[in-house]
Amino acid sequence: MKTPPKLNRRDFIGQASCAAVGSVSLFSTLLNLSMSGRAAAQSMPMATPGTDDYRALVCLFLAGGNDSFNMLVPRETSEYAAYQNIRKDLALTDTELTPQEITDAASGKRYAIHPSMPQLRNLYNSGDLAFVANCGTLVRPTTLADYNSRTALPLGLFSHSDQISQWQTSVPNKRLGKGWGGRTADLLHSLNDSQQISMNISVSGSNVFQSGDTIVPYSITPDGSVLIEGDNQSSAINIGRSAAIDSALDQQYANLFKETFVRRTRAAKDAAEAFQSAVQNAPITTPFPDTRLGRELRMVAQAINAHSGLGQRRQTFFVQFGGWDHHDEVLNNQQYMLRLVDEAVAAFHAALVEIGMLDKVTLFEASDFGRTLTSNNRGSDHAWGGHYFVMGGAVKGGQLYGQYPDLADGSQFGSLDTGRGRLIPQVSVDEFSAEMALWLGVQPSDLDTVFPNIGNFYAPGGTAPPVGFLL
Amino acid sequence: MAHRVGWLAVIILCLGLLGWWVNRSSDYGNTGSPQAPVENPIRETHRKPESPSDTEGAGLESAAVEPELPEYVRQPKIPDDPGEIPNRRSGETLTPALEERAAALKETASKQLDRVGAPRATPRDDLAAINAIFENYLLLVKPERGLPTGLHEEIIVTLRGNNPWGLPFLPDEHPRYDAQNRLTDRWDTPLFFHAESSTELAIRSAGPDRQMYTGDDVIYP
Repeated sequence: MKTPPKLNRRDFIGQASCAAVGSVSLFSTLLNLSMSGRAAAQSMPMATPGTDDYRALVCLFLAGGNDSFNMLVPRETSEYAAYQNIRKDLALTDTELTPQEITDAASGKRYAIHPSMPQLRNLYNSGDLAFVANCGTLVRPTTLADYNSRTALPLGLFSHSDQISQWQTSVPNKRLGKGWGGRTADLLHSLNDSQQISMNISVSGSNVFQSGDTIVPYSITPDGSVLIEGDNQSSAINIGRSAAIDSALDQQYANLFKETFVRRTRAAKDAAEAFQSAVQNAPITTPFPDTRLGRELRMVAQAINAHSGLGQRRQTFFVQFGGWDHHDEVLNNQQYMLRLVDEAVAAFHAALVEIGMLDKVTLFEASDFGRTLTSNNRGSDHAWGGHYFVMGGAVKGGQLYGQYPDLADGSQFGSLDTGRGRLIPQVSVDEFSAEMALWLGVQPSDLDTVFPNIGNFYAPGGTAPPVGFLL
Repeated sequence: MAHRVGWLAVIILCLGLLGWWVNRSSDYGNTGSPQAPVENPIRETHRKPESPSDTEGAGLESAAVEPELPEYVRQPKIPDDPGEIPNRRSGETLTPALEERAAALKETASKQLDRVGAPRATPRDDLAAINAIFENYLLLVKPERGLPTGLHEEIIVTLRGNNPWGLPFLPDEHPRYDAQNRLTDRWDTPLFFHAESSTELAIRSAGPDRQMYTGDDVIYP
């Protein structure tokens, strides 16, 4: 038998020192993690016993760049004339817009929502929907002089992937892989009773918006969670297969990689079954349109209804609807696609009413960028500022926030136009998003953790909200 | 014993046959036969050089073997990486190596524009040549800085010198510019640059009918 080598005094002191140094760093890490967790928990709003203080944000991302200057059209006589003058062949007609008119409660001015969105108009008029005008990615408040000298502009301005990323990270001066929904979840997830399923749920796969340092999105489909194929009790073969899968996952493996793989697979399997079970126990009867977007928002509504079963007090959801890059056929495409949005969002609103969650859920729409006001003879091209809607019981609806740009020549338009009607935004994505992050539960003192540039637009902790569209 | 001799003879025969076959194959490769494989010029455009010396050598060899091969398939002669690009707007000065490198790119860009509409080039080859200008720009300014994005005119103005380094990467004059200094395709229609990302501009030509977004449009990549 081989005897272990004897330690002399010098070796003992040397090895003990190394061990001490190693332990210090380990304990330090553990201590930091523990302290950061406690700090996060202490800064969270406390639950009131006996009440359901649940809140959720739903991001509806229209990928490609929705031409929002036709989703919300000015209707005051001179402003509509300016709109027609600049949009020319892209302008919607008087006949199309008249039935869709709305009034901005703040300014008293008339606008019209796209003719394919009659139900959103009803939601606006009932106070559950608002618009935020001329919003976009900004590093800091930006002037035309800044644009011309290329000072403090978002990286990759006018490009799809950069602008999608920056809407989702809210950090336009850096290329990050973590989104503001993910950073919000890093702070808030400890509010949830169960961590089995991520606070961030996506029906459109992985995304930047919901990715944080510790939280990643949990991906589901319009039919629910993704189970292992054949792992069910639907037939004799599947019963046997299911038992075999369970048996394999219950084994202990000496190999670290095998053991890790099995543990992760087991956790994913358990989470998928728990999600599916919770959703099935929280049915919704509201009819949804039989479209991809309709099915996805139906599943989101079901997951919201199942939040108690899932042990969730805070959630975010991500739904992406692509195909909005209409360099040609913008009028025909919008007529079809905005109707799909209108029907699905209206059904989602009705479902929230059915389950009594309207005040606890805010849906916001986002897109890569606005589009050029001028036509390329077939459609519109990439631009910057655009208009976006928010919907929910907590929304102070029936109103426009921000400022709809005056499109007349020689007006304010001249100071915002970077060419071809690409308008410099006057509301930043930081302000738009910070409003919702605060509503979800992020403390003002933590706002700059989620939005590193927020100080360029808003002083956290002040009495006024960043934009003001949420109660 | 007789068996062993027999097997040995078979093995020697097989080796002989193998040697004859290998010689025959290499002879075919040296004939310059029209059936010999030719590298895809589009793929060649995107191939990154292993080193500056490889680039130079490959270009010379290519020119010697196939003098009629389009110019843009050969990699530009780019001097060694000059390091971090100073920002002239911030008062930093440019190094001679950088100016030499930018001048080489500008010269190459001019030759690539010459190839647009060349007899042996296809419309897609034209766009590949223009795309190579963007790729060369990225090689110099590094991907994290990205390509210029925005309107066609803004992209061209940036590449012609209105950039933080004050360096022109496109020639001042060329027949491929129209009156508004936009780059045009072989049918003299301005191209459309679609910003997919800050490192990828999809290039669209309106095609022979000179109308964008019709069936004969040519798109690269």
